[in-house]
Amino acid sequence: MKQLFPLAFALTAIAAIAAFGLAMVFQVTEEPIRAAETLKRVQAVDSVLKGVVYENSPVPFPGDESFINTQMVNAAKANDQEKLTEICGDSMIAFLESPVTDEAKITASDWYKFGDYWYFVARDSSGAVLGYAARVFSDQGYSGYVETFVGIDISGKVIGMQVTDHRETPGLGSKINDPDFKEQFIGNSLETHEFEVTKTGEPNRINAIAGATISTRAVTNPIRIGLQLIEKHKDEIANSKAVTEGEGQ
Amino acid sequence: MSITKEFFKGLWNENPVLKLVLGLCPALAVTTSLINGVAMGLASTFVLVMSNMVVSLIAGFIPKKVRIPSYIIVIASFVTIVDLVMHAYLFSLWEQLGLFIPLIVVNCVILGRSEAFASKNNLVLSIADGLGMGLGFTLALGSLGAVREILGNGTLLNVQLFGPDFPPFLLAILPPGAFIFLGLFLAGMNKIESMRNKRKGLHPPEPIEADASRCCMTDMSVLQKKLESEEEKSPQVA
Repeated sequence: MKQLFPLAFALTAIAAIAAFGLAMVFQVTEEPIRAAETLKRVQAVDSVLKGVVYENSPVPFPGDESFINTQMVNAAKANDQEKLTEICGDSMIAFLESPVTDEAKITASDWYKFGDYWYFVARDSSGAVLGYAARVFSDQGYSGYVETFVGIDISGKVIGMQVTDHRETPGLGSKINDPDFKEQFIGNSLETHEFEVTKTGEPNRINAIAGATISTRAVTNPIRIGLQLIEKHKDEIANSKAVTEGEGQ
Repeated sequence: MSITKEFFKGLWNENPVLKLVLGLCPALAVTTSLINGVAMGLASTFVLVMSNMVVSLIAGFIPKKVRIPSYIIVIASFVTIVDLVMHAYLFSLWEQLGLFIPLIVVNCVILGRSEAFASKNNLVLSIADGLGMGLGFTLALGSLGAVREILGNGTLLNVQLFGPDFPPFLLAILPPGAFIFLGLFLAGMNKIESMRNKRKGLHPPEPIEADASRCCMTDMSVLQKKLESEEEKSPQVA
């Protein structure tokens, strides 16, 4: 016991100092990280709604209202990298330092929540529904959380998808963001496709990535559930206009 | 033992990747382009310098029995700092390297330098060693990345080199290409070394054996035994 004390003390002291240092760095970087992550998701909404010319804005983003302004959204929508860099630098620092005016903040939001997932409803200027961008996720990835954005047109067909957050194994599970894998979803709807993972190449199913079936499921299953939810709540959305939160399940 | 000597040995004579054959996991995994290789190298350099610095300062206070977990805490903290800072301020680069950054913790080179060098040398020499080793690591990763990017993608720093008709040698940026080009680099190093020795009239050196026996863990078990026998002789000073 006597010998253990100095050992335990040394380890505790080092861990405490390290924890203190990390806490300080975390404080400083927390806001820029959140801003960058939000901007990525705004861009993801636009990229999965490929070919849909919508007039409303996905901002404010659920859970994050403070960081994005119209200028940035327009630049992100136009995928104008130069403009984006001009506004926010590589990292949005310049943007964070400039005050957000009330005018720049968009108050109307077309985000709905069904079940666990958020849906952005893309509308034209008259308010007619053009499509949906669903933010679906799973906790069942190989290393936890996997978040995916799916673009769905009004007929329920998948028009785009992008994995926005994951910690899957590099080179194996990380292939869920490869174009070849994503291609499997595009153009399919619940009527024509099962959105189930197959390891044996059955038709109308998603082929599992070799060695990464769990990662494949963590993308595919939420997309299926997301499609089912939007199918169920379609009419509800069509009948309402710019109501922030729909009825949860 | 001079500062410049400790610094320059990492660049060539004891280059971590090409001479010591350490830290191959990142060297193989991220070197698909010059920028990825250099960024990974610089991130590792930062961690290496900082951990060497801290370890050389605290080595005297840490009981020998818990030194490895202590070093790992130090290293892991700096890796987390790099991860957070890159996530916040270099977002696009972080998106590409993000999955590999946590792996710096288990990079053999870093724990190896803490154990083999920083814990036995003073602050200034440890910084020089970390900087040299880190830049040598960056150099190796950068050149490997550059060659693979040029051949496998026809670009360097995303600039087209050979015009649009160039058919990329795709293998170079796929995982097997990493092994093949690392092998060629090692062969080249051996060749240069033996030519140098010939000119000096020395016998050619033993070729590098790139097997697991060279990994730092072996050295550590030897060291552990040595330490234990020392402890038996003299009671431990905490």
